[in-house]
Amino acid sequence: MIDRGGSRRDECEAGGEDAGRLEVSMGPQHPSTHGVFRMDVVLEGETVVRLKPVFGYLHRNHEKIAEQTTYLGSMPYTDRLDYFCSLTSNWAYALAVEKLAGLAVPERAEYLRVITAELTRLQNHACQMGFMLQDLGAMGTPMMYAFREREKILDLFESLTGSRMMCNYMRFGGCRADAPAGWIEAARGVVGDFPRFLDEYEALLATNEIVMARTQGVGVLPRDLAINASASGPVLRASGVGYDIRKTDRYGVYDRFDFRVPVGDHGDCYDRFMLRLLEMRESVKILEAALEQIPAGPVIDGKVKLRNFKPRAGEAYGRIEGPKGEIGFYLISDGSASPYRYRVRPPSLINLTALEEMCLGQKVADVVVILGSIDIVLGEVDR
Amino acid sequence: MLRRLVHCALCWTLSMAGVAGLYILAGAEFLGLAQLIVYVGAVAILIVFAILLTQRRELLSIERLTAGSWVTGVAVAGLVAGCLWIGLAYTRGLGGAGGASGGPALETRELGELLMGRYVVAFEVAGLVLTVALIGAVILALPFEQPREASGRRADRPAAGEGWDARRQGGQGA
Amino acid sequence: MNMEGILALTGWGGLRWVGPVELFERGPVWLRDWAVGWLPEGAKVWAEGLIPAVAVLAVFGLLFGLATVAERKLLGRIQNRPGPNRVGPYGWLQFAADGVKMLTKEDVVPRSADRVLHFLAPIVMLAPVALSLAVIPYGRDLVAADPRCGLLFFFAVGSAAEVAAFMAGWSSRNKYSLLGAMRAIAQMISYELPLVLSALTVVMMAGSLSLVEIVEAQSGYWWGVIPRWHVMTPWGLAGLLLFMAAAAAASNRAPFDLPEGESEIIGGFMTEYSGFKYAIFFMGEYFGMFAVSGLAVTLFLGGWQAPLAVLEAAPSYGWFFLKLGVMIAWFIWVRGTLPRLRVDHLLNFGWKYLLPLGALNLLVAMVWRGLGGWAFPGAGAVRWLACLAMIGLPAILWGRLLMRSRGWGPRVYRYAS
Repeated sequence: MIDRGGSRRDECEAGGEDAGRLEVSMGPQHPSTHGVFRMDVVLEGETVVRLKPVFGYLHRNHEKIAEQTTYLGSMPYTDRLDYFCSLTSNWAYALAVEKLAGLAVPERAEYLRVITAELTRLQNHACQMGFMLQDLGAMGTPMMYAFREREKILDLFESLTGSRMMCNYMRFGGCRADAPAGWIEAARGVVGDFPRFLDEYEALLATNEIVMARTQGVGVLPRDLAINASASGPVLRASGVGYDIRKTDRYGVYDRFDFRVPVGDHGDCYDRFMLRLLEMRESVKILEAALEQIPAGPVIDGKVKLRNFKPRAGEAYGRIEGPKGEIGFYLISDGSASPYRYRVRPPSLINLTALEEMCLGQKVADVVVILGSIDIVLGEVDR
Repeated sequence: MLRRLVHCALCWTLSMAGVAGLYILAGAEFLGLAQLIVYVGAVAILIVFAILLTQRRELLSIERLTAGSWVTGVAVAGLVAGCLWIGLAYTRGLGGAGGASGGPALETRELGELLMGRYVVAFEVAGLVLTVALIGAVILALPFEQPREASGRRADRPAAGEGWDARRQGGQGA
Repeated sequence: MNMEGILALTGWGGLRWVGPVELFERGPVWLRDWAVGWLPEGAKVWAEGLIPAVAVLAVFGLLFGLATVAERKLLGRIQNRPGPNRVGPYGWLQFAADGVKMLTKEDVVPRSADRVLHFLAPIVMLAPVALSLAVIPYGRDLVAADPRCGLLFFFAVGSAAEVAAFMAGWSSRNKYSLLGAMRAIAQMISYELPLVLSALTVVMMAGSLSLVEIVEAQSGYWWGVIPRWHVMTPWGLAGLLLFMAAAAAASNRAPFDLPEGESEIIGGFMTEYSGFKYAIFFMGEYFGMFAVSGLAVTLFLGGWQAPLAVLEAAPSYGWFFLKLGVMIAWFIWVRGTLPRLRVDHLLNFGWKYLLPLGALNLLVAMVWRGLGGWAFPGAGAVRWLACLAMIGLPAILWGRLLMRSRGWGPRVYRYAS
């Protein structure tokens, strides 16, 4: 509770300073803020009339630290940005450095990157849907179902990278290690089973009356606002903009796969929820093709000197379509061993900026659902 | 003695529950339970809701009790007690201990038959009056006709989309 | 009495041979009479009231402990995890460990709280709920009290829970508590009406407010196999569903657990409670669930009646607690399955859906009785289906209409070109 002068006791009694208004500080210790995040909410009854997101509780100077260390030294730190999707952060950073230094990536490494990125998307979206339903009050059941699937994918990550969450897998000019024997087959098995889970999830939840009532028409982000707020990822596509960096940039080998980009028309929580489900179906298609086509060969360009890496002076911006949206890294090099400027474009933070617009006029119970539907990770918001 | 209105309301609730207990002890089971439902379950909640929604804080607590208010309070209490004593003293049939045995035990069924038979007009009229009151309350509570924007979004907020960039830059400058 | 019987004390001083069936059926009553017999004359009246009260509280206290473990285990099963399995055999003693933990925890009271009300609120929450357990008939002669207006008593004492929720929410001086209390009161008031209305249908058909008589009205079998429970009639089936929906809301159970909705307002009116006060609240909630489940069993599921004539050998209270267990499992299942409603949806659902259907169900019950005179072949089936259609079709259509009027429904998505 924030104490803004006056006695707290009287504020409760009379409903706050303003007639009938209640100022509630949700967080930083609140079960549904997905980490240490605070929302100063002003309520009229249960209706939100003002909302101020307050973040920075998890700030740990990521960008400044990266400017002090070597290029490779920042790679493990990118794991900690979005701890749910370390592999996509790895890739975005590797892509930026490769652009800066003009490195080429072997084909097998490109495929491994696509496979790990899409697996990351699967587990992130599955868990996001579980978390959002948890915020809806579904007692953990959908979340545990999602975690069951996530476990299988994390097992794959573990055998590929040695770590389940902090993978630290990408290197400039390729990947750190080749897939161990039998990994491709194991991945094929996991991917082949995944549609069963999606069908189950869709059948149980997509047409559930309470889910529809709680999410349809709630937290609407209009199309032009979404564009102006620079939203990206499923949040942007739910608002009716068919923008996907995998299609526009065609980075990596994404031009070799046949997949579609689902688009929502309402921009509400239900659209964001369903788009993730549909995106997972497309990801499964990409994965099946990639696991089929993956060529043999080296996974890293052996000529790159990772230990003493000094790109020529210049600047580069590398971005990919992460599960949460556009994750980008902007680097300026002065020719030394550490970047002169290092800047992250975190999708969670930028999608979060439109939170107040989505929440105004909604009930306090909707705020947590809207927050859940944006899909944030505080490690990335606060950096 | 009790400075806070909420405490007063809760004490009032307690005394209403006590009255219900007296009714039950006197053999009027239905009346006692109805008293409990109506006063403890509904009227008490109505009162505390009214207190919660009162926006003038100074009305919610009694700042100090003057000598005059003490005198008035004692006088009113004495008057009520006296009336009750006189009333009870001149009523026959309740003098003995244990009202349940002395009073006529009215079955709920008979009560229902009386209400729906002999006193049906009075019963229905009372119901009608309450319904009218309910509808009146709903009409009073309906919000005034307002444009849609005013209800949800703040008036000083720019419309969706336009002005977003300008506002953000302004916010950063400030 | 019979040769294979067991020597038993039947009441004070009465020692005779009884069969096992009779022993189990009448045993608790004999035990009470025997215990009362030891006491001096003046204390007997008190003991006759006190012994059943203590027995009910003890049984439900134990049931509360077991139900918390059962809930966690069942939820675990639903969620692909084992649930508690460490303390005692298969984790069934977990409640004892929890109890010790709750008792030894620090009892935190916020500095600005109203200490007296903060202390009283859990008691005011638990006491009326425990009182309402008194009127439920647990077996053939097992009822702590059988007032003429048993059902009315149940609802009357239950209404004090609203006051308790307000006291807890207001005295904590926490905004979440206050929000939770407001929600709790609004919800309890709104859902008392459909609850009472669906119970009223039974009162009308059984012709009594006494719960013992309502159970007795459900005795016997149709064609010797189908028990004459109210749930076997269309109005009883609809009544049970309406009752359970309203009961879940009235006892703050999922999907109507808004007053404590932990993902929104932390713990609602219980936010500032810890230690044993919290445990008392928790207990009150579970007792409330037992009470409404017991009432549902009494009103619709034949109370302590056995489902088949041959099964009447089992003690009647066994049947009651079996049915109660089924109802509790139903509550747990729903909790593990459904997301939570929002406060305005909740009120709309209560006032616009449950209440009209409850009133319609009253009408259907009247029609059911009116059609009882039909005597042509197959009249029973026609009557059954006609009454079911009378309540079932409006329920489905009205629900669809309400969903559609808000524009809620499945959607089709397009793909970017």
